Amino acid sequence: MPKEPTERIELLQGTLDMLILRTLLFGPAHGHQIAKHIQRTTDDLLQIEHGSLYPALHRLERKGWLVAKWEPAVKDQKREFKYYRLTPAGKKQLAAEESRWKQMAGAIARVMWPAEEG
Amino acid sequence: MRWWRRKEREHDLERELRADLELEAAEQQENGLSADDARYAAQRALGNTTLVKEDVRETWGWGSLERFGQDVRYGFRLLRKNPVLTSVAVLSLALGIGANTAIFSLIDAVLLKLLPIKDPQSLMFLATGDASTGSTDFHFETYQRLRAEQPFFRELAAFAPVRLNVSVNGQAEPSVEGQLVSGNYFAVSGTDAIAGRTFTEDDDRNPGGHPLANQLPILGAPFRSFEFGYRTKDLH
Repeated sequence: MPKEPTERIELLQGTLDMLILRTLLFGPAHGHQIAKHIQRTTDDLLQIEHGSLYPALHRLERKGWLVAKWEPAVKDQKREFKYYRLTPAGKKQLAAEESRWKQMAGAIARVMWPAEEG
Repeated sequence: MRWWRRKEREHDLERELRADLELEAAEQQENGLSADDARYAAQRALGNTTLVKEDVRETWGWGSLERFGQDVRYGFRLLRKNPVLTSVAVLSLALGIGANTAIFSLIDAVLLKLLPIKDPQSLMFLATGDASTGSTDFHFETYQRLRAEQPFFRELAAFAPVRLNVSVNGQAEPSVEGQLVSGNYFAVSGTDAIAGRTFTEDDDRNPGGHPLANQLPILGAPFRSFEFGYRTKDLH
């Protein structure tokens, strides 16, 4: 069961794209799988709303970082899902966003906990 | 994205969201909910599908176009709802545009459009007297002397209005407005005949004779096409 909304953390602007790209690094997945994966990995702390997920997926596809294709499900061959797959450009984008995110997190950490810095 | 693939896209998105909804419902059912409850729970989790679709469409890049289309359709609906207001508005617009077009056509023809000749800017009319009462009437002899002696213009041509009685195949036609012109008239204006030939200086050598006795008539294109039908190849 999902946790109460108050316990959820609002996603920072722009981080959803990075999380989606990172999730697809494991292999192609459809929207539902992507959302569930992020949710499970974060112990339900990050709930991906459909209202953000699907616009993000279509935006990333339009930018050429993902390609989408209807394919039969792995478990149930009779059902088809729209699988998203990372493109080489998407991989590059992921690397760029990751390093940017690391810099940002480091910068914030230096301000928040100056004593702990060496 | 191409606009004609829009329907396809729309259908695709619908299917994608439905698949997600079914998966969510199946998972809720595994958690022990009844089929109905699971479906409601899934719908709750999915949220406002219409809104999701709208947000996705926005990423396709024709959100502004779509809104414009909606505005246009809304406008037409409102117009249909108020036929009286609509007809008054359309009628006044039509009258306004029509009147302006008519006035402009007149001004264009009278004031703006240049004569259809070779070098309209350098064309001048000679007149006697001052600007308001001036007359462009000259005696033929005066014209001839002016033409021979004036140093200002490259060439001087003369014309005079005349009413002509016309008969076609022996049948008398209503008289028409014509012009008597000097032999160099067409050379000066730089216009040529569609078929046949225009006057030349050689047609000008009989001052005392009947104006048309040794001259060939030149028919203006509107007159010819109106009276004879526009068949250039017949006129030789």
